[in-house]
Amino acid sequence: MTQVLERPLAAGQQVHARPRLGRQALVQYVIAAVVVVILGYLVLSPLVYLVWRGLTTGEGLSLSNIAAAYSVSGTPTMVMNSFLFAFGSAAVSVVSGTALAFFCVRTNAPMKPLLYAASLIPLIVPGILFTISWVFLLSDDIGLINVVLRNMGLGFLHVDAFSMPGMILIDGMHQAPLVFLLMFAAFRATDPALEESALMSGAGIGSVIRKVTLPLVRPALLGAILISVVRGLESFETPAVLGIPAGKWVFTSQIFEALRTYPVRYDVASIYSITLLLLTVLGLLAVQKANSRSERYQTISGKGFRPRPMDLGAWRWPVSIVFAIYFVVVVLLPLLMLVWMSLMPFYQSPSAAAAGSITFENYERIFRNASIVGAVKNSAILALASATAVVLFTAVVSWLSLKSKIRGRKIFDLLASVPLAIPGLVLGVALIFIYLRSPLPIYGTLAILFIAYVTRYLPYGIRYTSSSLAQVSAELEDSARMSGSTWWDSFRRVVLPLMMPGIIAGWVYIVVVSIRELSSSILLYSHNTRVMSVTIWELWENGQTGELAALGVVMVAALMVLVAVAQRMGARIGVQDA
Amino acid sequence: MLYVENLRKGFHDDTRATRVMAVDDVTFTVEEGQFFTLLGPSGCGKTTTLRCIAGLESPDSGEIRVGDRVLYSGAKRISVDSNDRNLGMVFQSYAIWPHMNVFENVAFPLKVGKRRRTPKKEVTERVERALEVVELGHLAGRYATKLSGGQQQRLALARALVIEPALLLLDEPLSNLDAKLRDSLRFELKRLQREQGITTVYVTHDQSEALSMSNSIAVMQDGKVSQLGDPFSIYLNPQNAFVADFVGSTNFLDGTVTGQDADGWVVETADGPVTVGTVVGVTAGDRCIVSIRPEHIEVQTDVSGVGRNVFTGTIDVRAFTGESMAYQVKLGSGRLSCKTPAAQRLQSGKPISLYVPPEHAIALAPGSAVAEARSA
Amino acid sequence: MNPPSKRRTPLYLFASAGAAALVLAGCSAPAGTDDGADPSASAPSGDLCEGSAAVDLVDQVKDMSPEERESFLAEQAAATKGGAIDFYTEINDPDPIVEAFQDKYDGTTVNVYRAGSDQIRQRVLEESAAHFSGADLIEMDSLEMAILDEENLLAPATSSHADELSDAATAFDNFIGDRLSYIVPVWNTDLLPADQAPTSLEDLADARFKGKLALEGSDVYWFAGLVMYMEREEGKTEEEAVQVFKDIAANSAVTSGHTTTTELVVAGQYAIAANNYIHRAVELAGKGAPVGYLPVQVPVVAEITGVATACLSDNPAGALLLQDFILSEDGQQLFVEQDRTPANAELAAQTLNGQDVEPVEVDVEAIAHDYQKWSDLWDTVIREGNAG
Repeated sequence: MTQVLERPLAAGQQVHARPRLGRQALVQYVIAAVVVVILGYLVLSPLVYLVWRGLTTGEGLSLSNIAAAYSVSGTPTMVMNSFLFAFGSAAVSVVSGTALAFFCVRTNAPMKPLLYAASLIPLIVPGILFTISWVFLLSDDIGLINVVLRNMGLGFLHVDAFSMPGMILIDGMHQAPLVFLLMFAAFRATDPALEESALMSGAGIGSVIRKVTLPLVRPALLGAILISVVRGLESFETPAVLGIPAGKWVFTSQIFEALRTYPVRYDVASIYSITLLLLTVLGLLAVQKANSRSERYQTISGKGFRPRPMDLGAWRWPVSIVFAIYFVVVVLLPLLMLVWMSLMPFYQSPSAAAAGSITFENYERIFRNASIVGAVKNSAILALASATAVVLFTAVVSWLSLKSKIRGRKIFDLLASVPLAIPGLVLGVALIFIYLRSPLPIYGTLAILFIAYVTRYLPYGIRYTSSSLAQVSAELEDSARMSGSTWWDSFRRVVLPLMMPGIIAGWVYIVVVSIRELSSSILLYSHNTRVMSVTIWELWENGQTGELAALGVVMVAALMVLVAVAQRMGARIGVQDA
Repeated sequence: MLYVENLRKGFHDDTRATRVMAVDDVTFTVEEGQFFTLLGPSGCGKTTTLRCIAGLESPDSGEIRVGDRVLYSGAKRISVDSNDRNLGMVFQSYAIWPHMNVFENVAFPLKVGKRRRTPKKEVTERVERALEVVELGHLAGRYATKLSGGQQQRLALARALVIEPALLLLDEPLSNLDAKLRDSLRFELKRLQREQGITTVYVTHDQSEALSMSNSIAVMQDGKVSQLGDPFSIYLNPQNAFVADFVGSTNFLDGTVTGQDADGWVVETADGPVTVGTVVGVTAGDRCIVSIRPEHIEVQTDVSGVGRNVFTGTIDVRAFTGESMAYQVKLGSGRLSCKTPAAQRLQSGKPISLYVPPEHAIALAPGSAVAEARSA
Repeated sequence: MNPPSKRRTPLYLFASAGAAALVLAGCSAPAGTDDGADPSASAPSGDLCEGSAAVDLVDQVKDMSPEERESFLAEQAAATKGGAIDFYTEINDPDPIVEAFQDKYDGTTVNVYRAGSDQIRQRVLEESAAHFSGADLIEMDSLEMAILDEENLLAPATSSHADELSDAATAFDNFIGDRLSYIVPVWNTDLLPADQAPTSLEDLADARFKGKLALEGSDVYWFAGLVMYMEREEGKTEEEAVQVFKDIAANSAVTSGHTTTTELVVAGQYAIAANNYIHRAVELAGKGAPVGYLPVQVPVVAEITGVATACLSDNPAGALLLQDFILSEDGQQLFVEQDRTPANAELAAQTLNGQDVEPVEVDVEAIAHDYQKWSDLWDTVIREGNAG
């Protein structure tokens, strides 16, 4: 029997006076209060700063900044480009990420490890490295792929990296892993009986997927789409490296420029940031509505939980060929390009002649460089600390948001998701300003970077924890309560372990993306708190592409090891597969 | 030992416009060691009542006591946390924790909350004992998701019992099982309950379960208790049309009470007068419905149809149930269901004569449940 | 879950928790009474320098002999702040200088913050607005430096090595040039033979460069310098001069970062870059890359990078000591080894391989003074040229 339950919404007026607050409820409240204060502080202080900068001038509250910001020439095009880029990139990443996740989890497609790797590796490669290697693969004249296509007579297929389609494709490929991880956790947790019953009713696999599978993972899918679009709107590296030369300006590159000129155009930066913020909040409210019915999607109950793969039949091999090509194009080529670049004293297109100048001096240089070693250490510390802090914190926040009966609990999810819309650049500026004046010794230390990372990654944490929590049946917690456990006990021993697949996925994701975080770090680092991404950016600015590539290769290799290890560990915690 | 008094619980519907009373002034008592069942169709409030007892829902008003201990009192503003009530509960979905094995599932209650200091030795002892009672001792190391449905149910039971609770609460625990398993587990549960002597509150929509297992049944409809009593009286003396129809199956004939005669009351129906032995809530001149269970109707060999309380008609449909033949008989204007032993196979379309013994016929006040049943 | 009361209480709890959060946020975020509420107003007032330790020290050592000055500063530097000196610099590879300095002067530690000039400028402005003592010695390009000077954040610049430097380097009051970067067109010798090289600035707008020309998009200094040169020497009006650049922009792709641009030229993505550094070309040519810049047939702008002591410095002795070291022959030699053109006149002559590259005169302070105008103008040039 299926376990998709609908529960009546609780709450309402009392008829009698209310009993005294039970201890358990009190515990929930205290926790909720603490969470609200922390969330509020992290999220609201940059906002207050934004509003102050954007809506005040020397004379006090004023709307004149809005006019000033939007009368910069080229604004309508900029806005249009931003949306075009964001939606295009989201489309690419959602379609490919979801398809990959589906085939990995729910079907018997062969070569699954390959699929899994193909889906994750672009995630590990820092945005700027990925974009740069694609410059050398897809730039109009010297891009390797374009050259090959032309030689094969397929010149009409060529894509120029320095163009909108190029930007969309490259950013989309790079963001697909995020969608993959989200949808992976969602697909893994659905009850196969629901699809099987559809198959028994005569539906073909296509119909089953369309009418049963996808609707069941709808909250996760909506979340993924939303995150991708917002991520596209606030993406920095791709529009900066590819868009500016192509003359395609978007919100983020515009903000970047505004913060670099003198005098700094805070009005432009903050008004654009506020605009982005409003757009995101709208999208978030929409997803809230869908997720508030999360109880409908409860499919982990205590019963017969055995995800079973669907048989693709004749489609097995065509599907895997497509994905093999995807793997080669999205993973192998950029990595090989990076390796090639790391072996060249200065950049040359791959050719037999160029192969003659292969050298290892780039690797030598990076290992001898003390500040690079320091940067690696800092990145590691920050990544581990912020990922752990974020997933544990957001697990509690999701619980409060989805499972508690506290009135107004929608605010938790909303607050935790708002940082999504604050561009990293702006967050950096805000944090510098705030902590320069704070009595606490935060400015100039790793702590300020920690705060920035935690704030930035709250939204990702909450998406992972919420979607995995939405699928844990309330009865599993109820029975823990009936067995005598306190709220904390049941959270720790029942809820958290069952959320583990999602939590681990979230943790891994945050570790990886925080290592490649650039837009906030670039403003916040000090002499001894440099991180790897900043080092890479510096190398790029200095044109030291050889060393940059060498560092990139080492970084990617190390991260791949991390992900592989975490994968194995993740498989042991939480639900056992049949 | 369990006292539920004037319990009320309402929910706002989706639009928050109106308040639906899921539990509307429910009162009942369960004696020590008794097997008490809340029986009713979906949405009648039985599960909500159970959850109020468990502390998983908060009532609007009323009182719930176990022995001397007040678990909830609206008037005195008392409400004990659900993890403090020391009640064992088995959920409809069993709510077995998939990430633990059998032993760990049962040991959990002894390692959390107030019991967390239970010494390891004692934990092992008690868990093994509980597993023995449900006959799962040999599966202690297996992961919970690798158990069959029936085994999972027993695991849930063991987990509920390991804390030696004051009360055992069961929320439709058999509804997810196939029929044969359901039947056998029914007896097992009953036997277990009697051996352990544990006071039990059981929720189900399956009336045959309720009848076979319970000492006492409360039939619920729309948040209210429709009838409270032991299985025999519920079945043989339904107090209203809803209970008559819901518990077991019955035939209904519309009519009007005309008066009394030597054997009881006379009710005039469209197919002729019928004498009923009992009337409930109606008197001469009132409209009523007559309830007569199919198994009480006697099929006459003589098909002439002469005699008091004899109806004639044609066999419309028949069904073989293995243990008997069931027939739907079309009368002049009404229909009657009846049975014969399987061997005595009567033909469809043939005339048939049915005798309604007055002692098994009851005239009840007409209710909305009846209207629905009749229009089906 | 658990019984009732959570329904009424949350509202109060939230209200108070939310209020607490806002108050906390408000406390750390600007309360409106701080400076700079108007983004276009200048940051702190000029009081920062008056009576500051840095200015006093400059005054104190101004008349000492070089040896006296050096030992006094060395002693003071090591004694202040545990010998730590905060150095904000734009140099690609500051390690040689830092290590040489630390070796020479015992007890000193140089903490290097390395970033682009505009970023350094931003950071110093932010820190000064908060009266936070971040930088001791600042090293970055003169235009950004002049901006800081406009904000009255720099101590007067004096050095015992001033005489050894070329005139261009010592033209300023509050900072001293320590190295020069010449900006010329740089091309890929495989794709562009020497006879095709641009013959003048206007020539860059020629059709033969269309689609192959890169224009570095942040070079306001170069743009302003050349426009003013054209007005001054060639008698053009400002509009005509700007038009020259608009034509060039229409003919080119805008890139970000000089050194990146050079890489792309070497890689063949572009055949030629309009505004790039000679030293970078020299460096890559040394590694065997097909890159060239001769003959130079356009007016050459020299970007001057300078050093200055921040008034807010909390180790001004260290700052001055480091500054002197950089400007000394030892320090300047280190620049030569990095293929840079040092400010030291003698050494500079050696680095250009006897090439006669005369930079045009640029009035840095005038540009800094009108920075907004030049920056907006350049913005328009880039945008109009790059439409699409």
